[in-house]
Amino acid sequence: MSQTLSGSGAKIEMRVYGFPIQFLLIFVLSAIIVLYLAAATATSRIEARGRDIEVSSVDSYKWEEAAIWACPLH
Amino acid sequence: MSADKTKSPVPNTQRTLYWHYAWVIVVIIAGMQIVGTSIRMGFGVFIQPLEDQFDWSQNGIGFAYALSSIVSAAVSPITGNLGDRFGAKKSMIMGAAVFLLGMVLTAFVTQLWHFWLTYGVVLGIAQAIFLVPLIPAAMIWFRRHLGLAMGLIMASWGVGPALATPLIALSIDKLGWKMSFIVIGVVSTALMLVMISIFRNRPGDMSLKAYGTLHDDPPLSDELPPVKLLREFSGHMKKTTAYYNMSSIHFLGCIGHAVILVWIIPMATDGGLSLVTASFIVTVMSVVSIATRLTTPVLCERFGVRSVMSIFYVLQGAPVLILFMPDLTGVFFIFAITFGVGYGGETGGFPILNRKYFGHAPMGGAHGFQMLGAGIGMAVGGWIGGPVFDLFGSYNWALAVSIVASVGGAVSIVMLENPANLLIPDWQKAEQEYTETASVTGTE
Repeated sequence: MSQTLSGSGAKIEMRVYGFPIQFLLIFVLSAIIVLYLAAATATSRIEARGRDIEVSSVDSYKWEEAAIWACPLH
Repeated sequence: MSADKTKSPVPNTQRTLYWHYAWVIVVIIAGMQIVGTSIRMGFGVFIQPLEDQFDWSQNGIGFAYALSSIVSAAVSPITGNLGDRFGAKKSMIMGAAVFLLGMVLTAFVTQLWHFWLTYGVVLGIAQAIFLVPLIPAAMIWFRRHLGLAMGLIMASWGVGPALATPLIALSIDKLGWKMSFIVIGVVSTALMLVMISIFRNRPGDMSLKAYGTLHDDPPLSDELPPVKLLREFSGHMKKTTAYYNMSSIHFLGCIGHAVILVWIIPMATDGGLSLVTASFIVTVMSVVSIATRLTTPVLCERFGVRSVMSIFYVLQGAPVLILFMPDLTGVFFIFAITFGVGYGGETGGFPILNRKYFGHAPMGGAHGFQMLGAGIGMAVGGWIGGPVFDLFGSYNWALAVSIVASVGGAVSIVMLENPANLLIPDWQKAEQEYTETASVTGTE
């Protein structure tokens, strides 16, 4: 992380790997929300299919598997 | 903005409004926006005919729309740089050609993945090629009073959806969806080529100076910018925090309204409105937004960009609270009017901020990066209502995300650098020095 003073000297620019912290925070938080919702939806869809067809093993789509794999909370 | 009339020897440049070819450029750009985005704006009316013929799911068809938005967003920084490098006119010609190809190919799809490829990928790329360089192209034509020009162009964004959907629906009704893609593709491309033929990249191409140029203003080059200088200034822009933060602010603003634009109709029908009445809510929002699209850039120039932009971001977020009321009967149209004000004003300050931060430097790359943020925001905001409803059985958490995004955008705007000073070296001086050096050394 680096901290530099801007031209006016009044504003502190905090950067991580060259990206402003404000920019990174917004995209990281958004990515976490999207990932969580995608994984939650995938789990919910798989469970719903399982209830509908009442079998022990339920097929899942690739995106559902990927979302559940990527989210540490699912 | 008007100057003291006795001081300038060039009388007509002191006025806010006077005849200049720059206004033709504004009309062309507004026309290009309306024609070029019509097929995306009217996408909804293609869903039923495609479903009827191929038995594709609505989700599968809708994915082509999402893919088109994401592809457009992803290639926007590249197409913005293309516009800077080769001029907006060449970009528009290339974009129109790819657009025609995408439209004709879409008419012949027989598999869902064909549709994703032609509509989602090819048309997504086409839109980025001919739409992203337009705003930077307009900025070249205006030395002053940029707000008025941007207001007129942005007002056309509200006109597009109102015109496109009924026309496309009529075309499908009379010609069927296949022939509609071909006819709309050919007619739109012909209209675009007519507009492109009278478009000029720079005022110098018409032996003019940019609108609002005063007698003692330092000159701006009439040539396309040198590649070396473009690269150097692109590097300068990328070193500023504003370059990145403006993209994330655009992202937040677009999440804020995409949630509403996509999910207000299902919310309204769940609340007891008929589909026709519910779709009228979006029309009311679009119509109200035209007024604030028109005025926001002017207000930004007059009262300060950060203040005006942050107010409109709050105005976009605050009305969403209305939708938390237990009984929504009768409040949808109050919501549509109040939300339309903020939604229309949300985006108008960006060109003004770009000018304040980066001066007259070619803006395609920076604008393209902002469009990347906006496109991802539209995709995320449009998507998020679906999973939220599946999980919680209501849209409340999606509405909360919309409010947090809009208010977060307002806070981020307040934290931006003071736009009183340029954040990068002065483009005019650098260009002048480069030209002088090149003429001395005999190099380009």
